[in-house]
Amino acid sequence: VSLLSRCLVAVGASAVVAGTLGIPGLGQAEEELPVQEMSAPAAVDPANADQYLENDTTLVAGAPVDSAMSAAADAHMASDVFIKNIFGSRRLTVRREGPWKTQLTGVQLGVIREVTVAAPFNVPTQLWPSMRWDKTSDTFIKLLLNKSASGVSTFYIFIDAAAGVIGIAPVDGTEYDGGGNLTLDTEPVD
Amino acid sequence: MTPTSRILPGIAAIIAMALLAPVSVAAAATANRYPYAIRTGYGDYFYNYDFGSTEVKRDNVDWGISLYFYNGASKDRVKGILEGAGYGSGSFTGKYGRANDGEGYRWDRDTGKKGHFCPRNRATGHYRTYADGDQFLYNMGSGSFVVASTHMDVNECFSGDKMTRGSEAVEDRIVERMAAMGYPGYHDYASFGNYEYFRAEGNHVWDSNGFASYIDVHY
Repeated sequence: VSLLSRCLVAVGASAVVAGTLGIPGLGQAEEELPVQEMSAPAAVDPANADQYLENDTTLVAGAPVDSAMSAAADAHMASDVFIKNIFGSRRLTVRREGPWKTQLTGVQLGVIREVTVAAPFNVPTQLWPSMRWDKTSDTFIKLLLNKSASGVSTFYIFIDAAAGVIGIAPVDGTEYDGGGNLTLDTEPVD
Repeated sequence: MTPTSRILPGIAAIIAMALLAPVSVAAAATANRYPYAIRTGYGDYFYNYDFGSTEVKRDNVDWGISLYFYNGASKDRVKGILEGAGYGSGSFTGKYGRANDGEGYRWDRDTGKKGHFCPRNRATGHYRTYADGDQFLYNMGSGSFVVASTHMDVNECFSGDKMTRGSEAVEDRIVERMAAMGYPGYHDYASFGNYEYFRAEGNHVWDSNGFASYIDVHY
């Protein structure tokens, strides 16, 4: 590919990106070309199919997190009474963490952490901090819900840099409604 | 699979992208929610994400395309098969895929299917299938094929910690369940360029390795 033709491709690609992604001033394409066309196999090649039969369980990495946000999360988790109540003396391992941002404006609130314990355990009925996202105001509501769980070993923990631990959500195991929780949901289901 | 064999297709894809569109490589490597059309090599294309409405914009993407059903696939046939694998409940909210089967790009709306309607105190897998406005796309290499996005709805009808997450987990579960029913599944066979770091936007937890799994739905 000559340098000139590569440059032409580059100009064309950037114009298409600008058009389809709505960058002001460059206009919309009448019918977009592929933004970035990339060949994908049309079917599985039998010659190398076997290596794809087993699932690769490698975790997707966490997005880079601001070190101050991460330090704040450490401090909040260390002092949070609900973490003490739910996990007791179990050792928590942070498998990965990423930024926690608002949905509409992308403001970083803090971090989300995936934490694990060494073995699944049961959590008796008690108050859990639960993160409820309010799409209208684009922010969280911290709820304290009466619930229990069984066979859990992995959790997502939402930690606001200023307000501390907002939600502790089991990823595996089973949750049980402990009763007395109001049903607030009026949003359409997905 | 060895880590090396998993990395090689990705490297090949990056090289292909560099040759095709050098200006955009940096953006694709560093940015997330980066939608673009994928070419199968037979004159048809589909976008690598689905969208909340009929507009191709980064802030309008919903989930990455993570499944590719081929060799006799149609939207109804895939749903019929997956109903036998525990994905029989309907859904209310439609999302939009975009594809070009050789006659121009068309939007395709689908509400998809999930394991449980309105799950309370539980998580349920949810997938949506897309073609180009009809039942399937077609080319000589794949036969008829459709693509799909995957995610998990958690505590959807509960006052508490409602969230969506688990796109990788649902992709893997569908591959395994289809394989158990006699439809060979191939985990993470091709890079669809929709890698998403683990992170949260509101209650939408991103977690995607950027590779789609292929499932042969032969008759």
